[in-house]
Amino acid sequence: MIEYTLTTCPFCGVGCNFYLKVEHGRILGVSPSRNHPVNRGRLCVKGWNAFDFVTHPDRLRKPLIKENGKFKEASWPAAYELIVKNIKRIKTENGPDALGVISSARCTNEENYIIQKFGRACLGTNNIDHCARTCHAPSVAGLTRSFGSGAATNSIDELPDAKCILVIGSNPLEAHPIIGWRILTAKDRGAKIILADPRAIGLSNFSDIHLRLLPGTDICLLNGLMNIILEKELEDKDFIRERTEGFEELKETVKKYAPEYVEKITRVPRELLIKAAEIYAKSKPASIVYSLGITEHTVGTDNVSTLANLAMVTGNVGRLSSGVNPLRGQNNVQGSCDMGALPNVFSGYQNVEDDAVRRKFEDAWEVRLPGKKGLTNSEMFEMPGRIKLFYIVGEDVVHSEPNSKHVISCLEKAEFIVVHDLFMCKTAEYADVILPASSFAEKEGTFANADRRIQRVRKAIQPLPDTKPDGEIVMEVASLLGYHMKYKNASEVMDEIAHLSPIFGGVSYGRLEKEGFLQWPCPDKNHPGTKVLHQEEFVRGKGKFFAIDHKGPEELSDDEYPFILTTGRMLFHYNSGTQTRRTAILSREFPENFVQINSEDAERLNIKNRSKVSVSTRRGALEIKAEVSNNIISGVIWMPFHYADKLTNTLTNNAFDPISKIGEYKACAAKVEPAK
Amino acid sequence: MNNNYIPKVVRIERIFEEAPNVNTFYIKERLEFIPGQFLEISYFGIGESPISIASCPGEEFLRISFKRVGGLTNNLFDLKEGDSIGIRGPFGNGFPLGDLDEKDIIFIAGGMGMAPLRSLLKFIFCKKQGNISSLTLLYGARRPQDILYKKELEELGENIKVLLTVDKPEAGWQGHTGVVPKLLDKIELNPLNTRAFICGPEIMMRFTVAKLLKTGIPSSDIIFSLERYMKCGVGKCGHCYIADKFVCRDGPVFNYKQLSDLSPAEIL
Amino acid sequence: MISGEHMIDGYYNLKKEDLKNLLKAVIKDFRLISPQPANGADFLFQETEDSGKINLNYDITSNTLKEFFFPARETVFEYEKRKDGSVETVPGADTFKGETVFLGPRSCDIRAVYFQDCFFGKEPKDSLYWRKRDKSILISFACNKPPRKGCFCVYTNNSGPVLEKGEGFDLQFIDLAGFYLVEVGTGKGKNFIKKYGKLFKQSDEKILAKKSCIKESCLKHFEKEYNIMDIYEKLKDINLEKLWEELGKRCTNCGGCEFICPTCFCFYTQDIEHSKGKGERIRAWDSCIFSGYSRMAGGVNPHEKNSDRISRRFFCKLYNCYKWFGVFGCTGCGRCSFVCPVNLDMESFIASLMKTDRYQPLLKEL
Repeated sequence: MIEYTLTTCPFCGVGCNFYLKVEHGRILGVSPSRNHPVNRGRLCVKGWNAFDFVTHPDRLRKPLIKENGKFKEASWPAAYELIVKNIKRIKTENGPDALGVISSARCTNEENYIIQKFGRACLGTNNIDHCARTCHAPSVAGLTRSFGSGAATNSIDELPDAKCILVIGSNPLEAHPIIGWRILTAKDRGAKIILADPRAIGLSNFSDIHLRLLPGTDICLLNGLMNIILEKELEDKDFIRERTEGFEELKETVKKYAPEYVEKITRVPRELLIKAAEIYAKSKPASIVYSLGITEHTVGTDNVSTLANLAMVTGNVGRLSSGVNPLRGQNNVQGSCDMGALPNVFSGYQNVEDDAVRRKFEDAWEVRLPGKKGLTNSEMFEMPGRIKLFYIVGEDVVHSEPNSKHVISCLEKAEFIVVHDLFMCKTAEYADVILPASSFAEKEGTFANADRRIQRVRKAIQPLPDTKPDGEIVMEVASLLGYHMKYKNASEVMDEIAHLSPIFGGVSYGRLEKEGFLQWPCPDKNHPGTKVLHQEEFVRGKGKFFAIDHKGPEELSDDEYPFILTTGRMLFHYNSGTQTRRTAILSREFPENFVQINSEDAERLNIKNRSKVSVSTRRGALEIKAEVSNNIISGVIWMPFHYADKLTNTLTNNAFDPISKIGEYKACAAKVEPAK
Repeated sequence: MNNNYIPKVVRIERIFEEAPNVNTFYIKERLEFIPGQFLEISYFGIGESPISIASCPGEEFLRISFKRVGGLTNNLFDLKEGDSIGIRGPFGNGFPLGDLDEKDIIFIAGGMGMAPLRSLLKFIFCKKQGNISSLTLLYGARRPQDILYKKELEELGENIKVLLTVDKPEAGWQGHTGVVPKLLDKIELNPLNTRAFICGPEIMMRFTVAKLLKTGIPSSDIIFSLERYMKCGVGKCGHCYIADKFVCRDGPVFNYKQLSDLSPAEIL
Repeated sequence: MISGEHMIDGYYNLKKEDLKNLLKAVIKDFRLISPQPANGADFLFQETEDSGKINLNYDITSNTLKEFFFPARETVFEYEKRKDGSVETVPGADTFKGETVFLGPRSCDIRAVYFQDCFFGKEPKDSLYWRKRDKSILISFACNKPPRKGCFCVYTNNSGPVLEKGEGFDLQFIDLAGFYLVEVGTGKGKNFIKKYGKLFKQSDEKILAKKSCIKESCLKHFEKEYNIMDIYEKLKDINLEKLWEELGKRCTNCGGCEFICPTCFCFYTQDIEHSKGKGERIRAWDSCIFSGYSRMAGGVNPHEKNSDRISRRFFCKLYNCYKWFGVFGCTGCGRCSFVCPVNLDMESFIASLMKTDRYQPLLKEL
């Protein structure tokens, strides 16, 4: 009998749903869910192949303990004993803040809640973070300070009804294909698409205006658009007056961003700027869609607030098909933020430093909790030796943090490292104990996608023998440390989350079964969930304008390193490639890393298409193939980051945004030469 | 009905290093096939690849020659005499062997294309000698050491005219230099009586076909073996199909007239 | 017509209220696969033991019959390497348990099975397909009206709304208000009627005449604008470079249209080693839209450009398939329109091809 189990895709933050087809305990494939509100039957190539890695022979099947530099298979009790011994010792010798927990944006909401509870209640530290730091921490910080809530303001199914969509720092047809579908549908229905990206990407063929700006000049561009809008009096005066504060300072600041000045800095012709500004201001409703091209800069938070400025200037917040919409990357990065796998908040974005809040959790969890906010993962990796014990769940930090060499030195200096993962990866090689985890198809839980939608993940097959779901592992370790978390199932965890977090107050598995999904805020049992935020008023009351000046990337190109290296994603692979490079159809398409270089630059340097080149920065060098193309502007090179064997992050810069602590993956100085 | 996707397991009796990075496996297996057909060779655990049969029907051993180009072929180089591989086949339509009486036959081979042409050449040479008007072999490789079946070519004697060429000659090389199509300038052709059999890299075949057409040889007498990504070998998996033909089943041998509604750039 | 079955002429009536009893009996005697509700308003062809779950008024299923006869993934054989260098192989087990009745698929899906029968039945016959297909009985349900906006069987050489004998069904049920007119298509169908003889009454000329009325009234719902034979001719002659370029810029190679399509047959094979020296070779669905599909070792790819691959896809479905078997590779089910993330579906393509030569998505399924 073939069973069809409806579940949520484990890859990106769109949160498509499909059925996993299982026969005799074997996953055969995927069938789309035609009526699901998020994807309406569509899936991208990764979704269609989302099951292949689950039963790959490389799956870790036994706990591994490092002895004399080599990994040996061990039993679960032996592995646990070693972990507990070291946690106790290091905590006693150095205090709880020498411990660091890195949770996983790929794990379910319930697991993330358990992991942050483990860190706080059991280990006694707020040093908890996860990879949102490397992608949308600026969105959380930026939108919280501008609007009062750090999540997407609207829902993706509203996009087809927008009259204009500004896509900036995002490659939706490749990185969020089903959101790309909605944008394309808007276009097919007559909407105008404005694309801001240094590269020519799939969406360029369908854009009305393509602003090919230099990486790291987004504030200048956006201030330039606002300058033109105010100049031509296209702003929404009523909205500004009734719903915002701080407009006068903003007005002063954008005065200097005249089109000529903006053209000089961004390299975007002024005629295009003027056209773009007019279209965006005049087409209502207009939506902004953005992703890591905006956030992964030392001015990431400022970039986000500038986008918020632009939306408020034209009154495009708080109504359908408008707003500022960060496209969250991971399947559950929104959820891990929601669940408090962050150093400064509990679940539901409740501040750890707020005494009343902390007391509430202390009562519920029956333990004293640390009162000061903890370290972000960029801070945990700032100085080798700062963190003595790393507990890393489902993330390859060596692969995904900027400047891999530096990360490795921090791991080498640590005294003990525990890693949960599905496969052996670069980070796991530095672990003392590796625990084999179960995949999305082997457990029950929920994910929260990019538009705040909590959806169910359902078990299609039993966990592969001797693997365990991450939440279960953490609960067992906590028990051995004396802190007992007794949940019979994932539903009970969600009940506790709802009880303690006002914005999720109405979420329960019963409702999720009946209604299919719930978009937070959903404060009580009868609340239907929230599609559009900030409708009557902003979450913080009035929307706040932040007057921000342009500031370039930390490391600018110079004579020695004349190129700007920027990085990004491809459709056929996902992040560190641990799963997609083990999927037959996906790895067949783009099996190896490469660098995209402009054809004029390539000719000048005597580089031919598909030839080997050496790309180097002040942090490292890689030898890879070159793709010569006019899809990238002169002076800039682009690399995907999906390949562990040719690790792009050995080149990137570990310079961080002071507010959100995100790394500047999108701009650093590099040089390219033909390989010897 | 048998599961025709299960390979037969056979032993490698002998491995001969034909050229740098080119090996020939000698397999003791009675197989009914005609020149131009191919086998799907399995290395269990890695996969399957199509490789032309290089031996002639009736020879003691079944022979396949293959070059190290990545994927499965790399693994084949790890095997030793006595090891097992899987074979399925023979597949494909093979070279057309009819109506060769009184004809001038010319074989044009480039690189590994010599392997299936060896099968054809030996077959015609051994079986049909006497009726054929003339036999010519034009064969090119990268360097002198890349020439396959050197000894056998030397032993062919005067009944066949052999012209060899290389891209990169070395000291002592006595043959020609340059690409294979250029060898056509060195021979006299009787276009209306000639049948040409071509096998090699696509770009070489494209230029050769173009040159032959210019001499006036009818397109139905220009015969070549197409290379495509072939998996099942029986016209089911779809990977090899071009226009409405499955290369593994309707080919890999085609004459130019059959594909003439497609441009050369589409075929080759 | 390829199945060696002898064509039987026969028409029967089945009262609507007897359908429930028929289903109960079939569940007892066979494995029954039929359309059932799934998530929200989805439907799936699924095995069932509860006749109450079956819904014959579904608009379209999110899966097709293809995945039962030609599964998304199946084991071709298992192997084990021995120490002496030899290898033992064991054919993949037949996971298709027992005689199975498929009750509820519509004409478009049945015609699609018929196409696959032609394809996998061409010598050498594909044993993995036939060992399942031979154990199946197909009971088709004709359409009285189009089940949804996105169907277009009328454009694809009469792959619906009602089929004729020899087009894939063992039995065809035609809804005539109070009862079904049951048309026997093959010997298998005849035997099925015999088995449940008590429920089926011999039909007569007057009732048979209603079959064409049903067909006519259903056709009235479609604006029949083109004939697929015109498309066949157009594909042969006209230079469509501009259209292919445009489509090449749109398609993002997800493979969805070909994975969901009930007639697509492409597959890849892969060896998976589970433990040292032991493993299996599987075959799994592939799609010609991927660049890796035709790329050879060394990087040579006869279909490097996306526009080439798109044109190959449409040529295969709307031209080659008909050339091979006299059956088109598209039966108008319209599923490709709800899986495409760039609004590039067959019906929109056909409309664009016949009207304008520029691509204009119809946006029927959003």
